[in-house]
Amino acid sequence: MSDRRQARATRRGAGETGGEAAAPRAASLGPGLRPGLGRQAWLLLRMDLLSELRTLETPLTILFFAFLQVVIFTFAFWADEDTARAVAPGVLWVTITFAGTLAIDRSFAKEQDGRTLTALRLVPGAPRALYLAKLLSNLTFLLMVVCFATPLVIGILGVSLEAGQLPLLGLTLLLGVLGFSALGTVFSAMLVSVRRRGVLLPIVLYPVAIPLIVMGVKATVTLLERRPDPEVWSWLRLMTAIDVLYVVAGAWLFTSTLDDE
Amino acid sequence: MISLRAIRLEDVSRRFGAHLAVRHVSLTLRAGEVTLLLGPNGAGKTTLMALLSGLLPWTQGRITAEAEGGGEAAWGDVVARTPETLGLVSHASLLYEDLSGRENLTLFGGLYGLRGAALRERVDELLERVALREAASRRVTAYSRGMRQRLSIARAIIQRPRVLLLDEPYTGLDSAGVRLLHDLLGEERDRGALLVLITHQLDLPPGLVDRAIVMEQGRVQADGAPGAELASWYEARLRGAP
Repeated sequence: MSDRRQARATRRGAGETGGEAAAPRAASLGPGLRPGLGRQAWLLLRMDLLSELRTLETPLTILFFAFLQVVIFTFAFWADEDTARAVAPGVLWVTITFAGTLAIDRSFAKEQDGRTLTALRLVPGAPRALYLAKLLSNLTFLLMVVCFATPLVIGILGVSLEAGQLPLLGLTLLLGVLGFSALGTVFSAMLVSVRRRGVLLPIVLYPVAIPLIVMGVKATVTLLERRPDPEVWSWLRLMTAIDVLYVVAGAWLFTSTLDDE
Repeated sequence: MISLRAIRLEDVSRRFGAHLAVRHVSLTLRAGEVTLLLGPNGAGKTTLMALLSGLLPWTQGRITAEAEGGGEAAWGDVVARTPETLGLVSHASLLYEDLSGRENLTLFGGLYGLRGAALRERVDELLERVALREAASRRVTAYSRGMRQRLSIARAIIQRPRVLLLDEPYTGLDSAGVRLLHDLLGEERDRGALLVLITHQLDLPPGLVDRAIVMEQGRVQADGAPGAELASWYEARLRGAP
């Protein structure tokens, strides 16, 4: 049995060779303190956001990077107003993806500095709560990018948008960044002890995230071209299904990943 | 809560590729005792501690937990089901650097299920105990090595673990910190905890350690009461005497 597989087996309680099952009297060694998943996740999320608020390292970096991208894309693609409007959805999604990757890459920097993942692995239920907390933390940063980049792209590229389209555009972007955050959280955890993870993260993350991003772009184009709502909703339904898959599979993969660390 | 009487290791080995880091170790560690693990670098002490913590699987043998009432369970099962049984002080601080000392303890206490007044009291009690009350609101990045170590010890015992594993806990501690650590070890032992201490420090106060185990090349070479005899024997071994 490989080390990794046995590590998982040991954490499940069947670590002894010879296939010894957990003794039935293990119940006498019952659980002690048992906090809920929600509370643990909230504590970890609060810690994460509090640390970020103190340094502002991640928010400032990603917002400045998003700004630079929009400016560069504007100069690169500006031919006339029609072209600018046509490329706007692509510019928006690429900006969100690239700036979001910066935030996701930093997801476990705090845990790595003090090697707190080791301490968290000893806390009951903490790995699952950590996944939820990091997912929400990444989602927060990506939503910051969305809130910053969307008006910028609309303003600079001259996209005309009616107020009635805003809720659907918001929902499209939310579904996109939710799935992207879930994927990013898992891949970031997998690469936490890899030295060149900053380089590797996009290489492993983008191929899996591409379907979701393409759907996001398509939904945004459909919306901005003022095609009927059902067309937009067909994309949104697909994105929701993919989000559910990414979030659920992410939770399962994340705990396995931590056991292997 | 677990009422642990002992942890029994039977023929436990751990292999890293071709290298056998821990070789056929059999011993029983008892609650209410401080066991000192001695040995030169690369003797397998830290690996043995990692096996006890459940963070590393063993490749041969079995480790079982004996409960007070006479029950018995696979140690891996106990660790997986009730990880709060364990407190760990390791080479790394295992602390969040951007948080203050108080915030670190509050976070870990909260994760272990403490909340409200009980959590605040426990955090205050530990900050007082490790003499970090005045530095409690400073971020860990501003702490000295010794202060981090004291906070790390406080973090490890916040949930009142039944097993406390300490790997080189003296690192960075000044004489006051060492005294404080010795007092804490005594208190935890009196509480009935099972303590395993790895250190190269041999001038420990009399009565602090109940048992000393010497490891060499992954094997247990000596196991007995600590004292001058064992210390001089061990020092002679380190110098290369047979």
